[in-house]
Amino acid sequence: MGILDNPVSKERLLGVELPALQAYNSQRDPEYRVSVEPKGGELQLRYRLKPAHNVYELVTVLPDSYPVIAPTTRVLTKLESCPHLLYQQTLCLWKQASRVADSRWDPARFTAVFAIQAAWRWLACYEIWVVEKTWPIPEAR
Amino acid sequence: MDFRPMDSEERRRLLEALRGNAAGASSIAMDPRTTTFTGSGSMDADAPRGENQVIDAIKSVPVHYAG
Repeated sequence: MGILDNPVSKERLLGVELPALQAYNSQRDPEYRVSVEPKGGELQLRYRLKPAHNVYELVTVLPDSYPVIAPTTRVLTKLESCPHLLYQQTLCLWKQASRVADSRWDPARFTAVFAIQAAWRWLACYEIWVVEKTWPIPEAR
Repeated sequence: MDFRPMDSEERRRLLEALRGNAAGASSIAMDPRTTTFTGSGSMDADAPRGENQVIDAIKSVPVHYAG
């Protein structure tokens, strides 16, 4: 069953996610807006972020069981190998096993826009890491 | 990509904003048109939004890097 076939996911998309994405896009220049495309049973959000002087292309995937299962985000722009970067340039954004609430994905509190903004923060850390070779903020507990 | 690094002052400002945010002391603001970092601000939930939109997620999104 795909994300659009799942009544719970579909209600969430229409009631929460798409309005949040529209709000996110409302002030952005066209090249920085998020586009939404169904692919297989998932939804892909494609967008660009520019935390400093460099522009990064990204894709955030909402899986068929979203929002119970957290979205995943990959950077399509080639990065240097660095901390918190997983296979195929997937960003390590949350620590699902953490006992600290703010280190886990919480479907009741967060949206796909939050995932995009978490990716922004990751890229901001990366921009500093490239020069200083030290990840600028502490590890999750 | 030809990586263009920040200068030392830009890096210092961004570093302070990221660490202040990780410590729960401040939010991070970006240019609403291009998503570029513009500064940091108060964590007050009701702070007015000006030309530079406060990124709500940077106040409340789960953090892999929590302090």
